[in-house]
Amino acid sequence: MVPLLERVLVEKKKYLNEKEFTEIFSIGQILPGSLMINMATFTGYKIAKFFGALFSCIAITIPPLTIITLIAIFYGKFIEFVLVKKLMLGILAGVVGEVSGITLKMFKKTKFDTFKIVLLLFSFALMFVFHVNPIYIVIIGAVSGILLGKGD
Amino acid sequence: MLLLKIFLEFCKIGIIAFGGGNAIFPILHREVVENLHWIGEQDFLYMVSIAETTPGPIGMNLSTFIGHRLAGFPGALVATIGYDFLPFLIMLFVAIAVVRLRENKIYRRFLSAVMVVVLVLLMRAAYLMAAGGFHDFRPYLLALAAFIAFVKFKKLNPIYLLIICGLVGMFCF
Repeated sequence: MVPLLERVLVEKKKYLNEKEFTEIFSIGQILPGSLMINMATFTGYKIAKFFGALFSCIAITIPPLTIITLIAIFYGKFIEFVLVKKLMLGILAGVVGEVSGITLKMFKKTKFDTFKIVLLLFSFALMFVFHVNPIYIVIIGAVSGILLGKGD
Repeated sequence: MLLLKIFLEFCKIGIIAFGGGNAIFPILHREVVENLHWIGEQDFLYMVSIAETTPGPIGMNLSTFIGHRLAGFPGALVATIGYDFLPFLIMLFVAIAVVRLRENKIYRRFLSAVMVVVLVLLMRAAYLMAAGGFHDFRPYLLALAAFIAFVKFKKLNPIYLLIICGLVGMFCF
């Protein structure tokens, strides 16, 4: 997705230069929400201020929204087929594999210090042992990071 | 009223959606399946399979799908807008004010801690999917194969990998 975006925004349309693209990509990654929405907002804003941001977000939302809506309409009919169920289960197994792979990659990239190790074990316990709502765990992580963390 | 509730629920999820679409899986699961009982466990897992293999961000796809299930197209629309609304405002603010987030010490502390929690969220995501969806050893084997392929072949498009897994599932499960 990102190489495609770069080809269109930087090389073809020349809305952004290489440096701006990298900057927007790195900021998009560290803010909440979908990377696509974040990048669309920022790119749109650079080109045409508020309405540029708004319209690029609307534009990037329409295709996935349409596709999922169409699938959702026919979902009830198709999901009853055993083969479709098996297809879905196969995909789910793939997702579990990919998520594990992503986790491993992120683990390797993290520079662990004492604070982070404690936070990791603590949030793991909250999630898997005490079944705390993950929303609170994110908030606990955020606040403790600001107060006690060292950053990267 | 239901539409407003959907909108606010997805606003809440959007604002803490750090670290990519997979990390919001446990959050959505807790809110939508366990707390609100909007979607059944099995249905939710099917939705995840679909959201992961269709174009568009995973979190947004899931929001659209769940919204549609609850209140038809208007539901899909408000869930999607809700999910994107606060990140849009934040991003807009950052763009307008030219906030130098990367150099901001407090934000870096905030982010590096949140990313540690994201690791746990991802583990929880894999756990919930396997515990809820895998009924014998075969999906575990396929997941292991997908894991190895994902780590070994960095150039492999993740969506193709998922489609291959789906086809394997169709014939082997």
